[in-house]
Amino acid sequence: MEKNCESIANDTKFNWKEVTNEFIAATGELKLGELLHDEMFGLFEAMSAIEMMDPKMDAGMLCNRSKKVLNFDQALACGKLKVNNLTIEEQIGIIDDTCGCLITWLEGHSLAQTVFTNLYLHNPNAVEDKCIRAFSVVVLKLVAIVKDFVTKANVVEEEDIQPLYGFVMPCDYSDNKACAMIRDVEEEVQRKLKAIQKDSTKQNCSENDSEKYFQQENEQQLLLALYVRLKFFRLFFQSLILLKKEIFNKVQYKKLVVSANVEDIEKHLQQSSETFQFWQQTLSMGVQPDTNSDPDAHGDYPTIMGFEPLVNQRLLPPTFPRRVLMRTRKEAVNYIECLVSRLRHVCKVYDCSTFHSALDFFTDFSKSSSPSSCVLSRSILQLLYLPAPGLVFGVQPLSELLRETVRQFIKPPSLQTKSQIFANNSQAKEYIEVFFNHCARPMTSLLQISGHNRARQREKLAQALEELATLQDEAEKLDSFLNNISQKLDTPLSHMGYFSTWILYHILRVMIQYLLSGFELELYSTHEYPYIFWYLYEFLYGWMVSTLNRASNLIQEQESQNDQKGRGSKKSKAKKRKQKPHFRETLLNQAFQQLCGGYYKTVCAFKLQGKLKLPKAALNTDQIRHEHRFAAFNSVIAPPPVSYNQYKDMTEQMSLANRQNPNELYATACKCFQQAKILFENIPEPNEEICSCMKIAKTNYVVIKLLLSGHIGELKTYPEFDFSVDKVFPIIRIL
Amino acid sequence: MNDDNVSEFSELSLNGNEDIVYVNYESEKQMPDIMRLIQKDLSEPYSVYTYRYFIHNWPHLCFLVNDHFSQFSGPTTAMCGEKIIGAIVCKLDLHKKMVKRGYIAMLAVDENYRKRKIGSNLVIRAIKAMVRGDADEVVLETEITNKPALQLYENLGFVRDKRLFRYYLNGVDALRLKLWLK
Repeated sequence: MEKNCESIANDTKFNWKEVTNEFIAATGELKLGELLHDEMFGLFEAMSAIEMMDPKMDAGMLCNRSKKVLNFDQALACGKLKVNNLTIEEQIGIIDDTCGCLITWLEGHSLAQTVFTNLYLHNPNAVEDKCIRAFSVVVLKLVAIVKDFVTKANVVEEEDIQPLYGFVMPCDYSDNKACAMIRDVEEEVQRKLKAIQKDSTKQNCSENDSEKYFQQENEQQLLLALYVRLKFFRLFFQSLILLKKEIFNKVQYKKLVVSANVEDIEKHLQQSSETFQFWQQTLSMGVQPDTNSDPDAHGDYPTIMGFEPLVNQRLLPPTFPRRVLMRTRKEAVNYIECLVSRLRHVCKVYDCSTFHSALDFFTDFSKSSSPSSCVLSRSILQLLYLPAPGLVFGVQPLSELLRETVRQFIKPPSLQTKSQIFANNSQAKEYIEVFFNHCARPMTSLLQISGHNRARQREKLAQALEELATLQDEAEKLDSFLNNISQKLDTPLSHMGYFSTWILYHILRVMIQYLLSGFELELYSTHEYPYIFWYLYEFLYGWMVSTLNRASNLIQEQESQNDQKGRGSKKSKAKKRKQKPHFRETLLNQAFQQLCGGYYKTVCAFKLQGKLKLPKAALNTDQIRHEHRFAAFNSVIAPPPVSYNQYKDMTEQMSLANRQNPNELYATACKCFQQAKILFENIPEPNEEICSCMKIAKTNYVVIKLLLSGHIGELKTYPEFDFSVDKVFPIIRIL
Repeated sequence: MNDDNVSEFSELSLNGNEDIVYVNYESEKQMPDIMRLIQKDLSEPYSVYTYRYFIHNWPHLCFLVNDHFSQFSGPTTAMCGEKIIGAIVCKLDLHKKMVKRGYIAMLAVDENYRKRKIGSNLVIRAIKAMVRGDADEVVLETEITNKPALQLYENLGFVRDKRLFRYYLNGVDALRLKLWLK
């Protein structure tokens, strides 16, 4: 290291001059507290300025310790790094620790402080060991592919993934070459395994040499452990290459919305997932860090041969040293296992034929995947569905799919294939075309929002409302334009509220999602529960149910008109037996409405009894907080924003009607929870979320019933809201 | 909110705190004590530039708590003095050219003086000063795990406006707390 400094000093001639004394003397002219302060030196500069040489702030100070930090060449020169004759234990250890680094990188830490603390990745060509060389090349390729996916999908923020800090990746192999390299090594290991197996069957005849037998048994296990790791990386790499092809070189297959590669991707991922069990079992086989001789080996970083935690310290921007707690080998393999199952799930997006089913798929994936912030899987989902802007699966224009989706949602007369009246009106045709083109962007935003991390989604939902509000205006104008035409027909028919109902449906979805996300992100204090649940119960879910009913009624109206026209045809009779349109979704929203009603009445009763923690020394009012909490809703016209006074009047009325008696409120809360439970039970094919909600409604019903019957007596402490079963809807606990 | 309302913000009761005095920041001489007090409780290091950025630009939004103590070291000699046992550091400026936003950058109370509403009183003082400066809102960040801080601010009417994913150097999420004044 000293040598380096000298050589740098020799190369560029600095002319250092000691100015300390002059500087100190000059400061004497300043008065106490007087500060030389540049206008441009703002908060950002102040916060990122460091006091040089202070180990708490100066990231470079980490390097100035007794132990020298060696790069690849230096470590190789002084014999600290082996590039050949690695033992299998070393190979396994290097692979497993690299996995820990990869996962830590995916969780938002810099590449320089994670993956590239592995020295082999700095110069794989100089590695003679075929196994580590192939593995290193594949890891470098994987990092590049992941980076491409994440960059293209662009559903990340600074906290999700970090830039490369000018790190040049030393890898110039093609995908195929890299794949062939790791396959060669994998096959070689397999051959060795077979040879041992043959040998050991021969030996069974002469079992006297037990020591040799034990040795062979041991080597066989090690080779097998190495084999599954190589196999996993080969298969995982192959699936990502196929995904890359699927996304970046999408070819138009005669408008067929079928993926050419998805079966292969699924097959590779499935095979790769078969390796995890044995991988987990053999985690202890890799070399372990030597904690006795190496004082740095305290478990935060991999410190086995081949790893140097501080090798890139000088590449980091001059800010505070960010602590990187590297994932352990066990955590890494667990994470990778979940990642593979997430990717397998993501490939099912090809089953989504309508926009609404895709949107549900996206939001469910974001909600239920854990950890929800996996940048790789959520980026791939975005890219598989919309590999090019506005082109679903790279083949179907989104505007076309939206048209089809609206046709199913509400059957507007203007979109009926039989409707010649509209088809022949070129102006109507054009307006409809333009409308769906305008829809494409906001609807894409809705998909993209679900790709962001959960904390960011909330603010983005508020922005989406603004875009949807513009669309709502356009939808209403379009409806009345088409209505003008349809009223003049021989048999006049209405075209009011078709497109606008569809947009209203999306606005309500976003509003509900926005309010609910506040529970998940732990943003609400219990004293805010009354107005949040009130808004959900009295308005949003109610509006949602009536919106779905309107869509359903309009469809049925259309169908009955068609039936009248084609009376007597067999087709129409078959239709009658069908369930009401939007049956399931309506039921679900009714259930959530009752659930929220139960909470609303319960928290109002708690408040009446003084058992809701209120801000005792508030510097503002409930009204001010309420108005700002719902400020995001001011951008939409329908549904109209509801004022604080309405809330106040309705809540007070309810309390008065119950003669300030909490028991009456508890009784109605009970009814709501019971109603919710029954509704949830009636939903066909309930998923995990619905089952949890059923349980929550039931438990809350029992708790409030007990409270009502006086079995619990006076409430002694503040009741608790337990979000362990569901992140949004709590179980009420009375202690 | 106007000045009439400000007078309504009364400080919380200060039972048995006769020796505790709230003062405005006066001079650079107090800086080392302020830094020492605040550094003790923070998970992140702040450079002297950060302190100076706030305190030199908004000295009127920096308040300190002094404890005047007298200690008997012998039968006749008594040692008297004062020490800073609490501090709040803030700023107030236009945010996105729209709202006048107050920001509480740092708040600390010596651990031997806690549970006496000293922190709340410092916040109330600072907010009174911000209201005089026509603030629309006051914000701050705190670790999601810092329950005492959440309790203090929520009791004053702050709400959790935003969650900031992996905000701190140690990877912990933060909450942006906000008090709307208008």
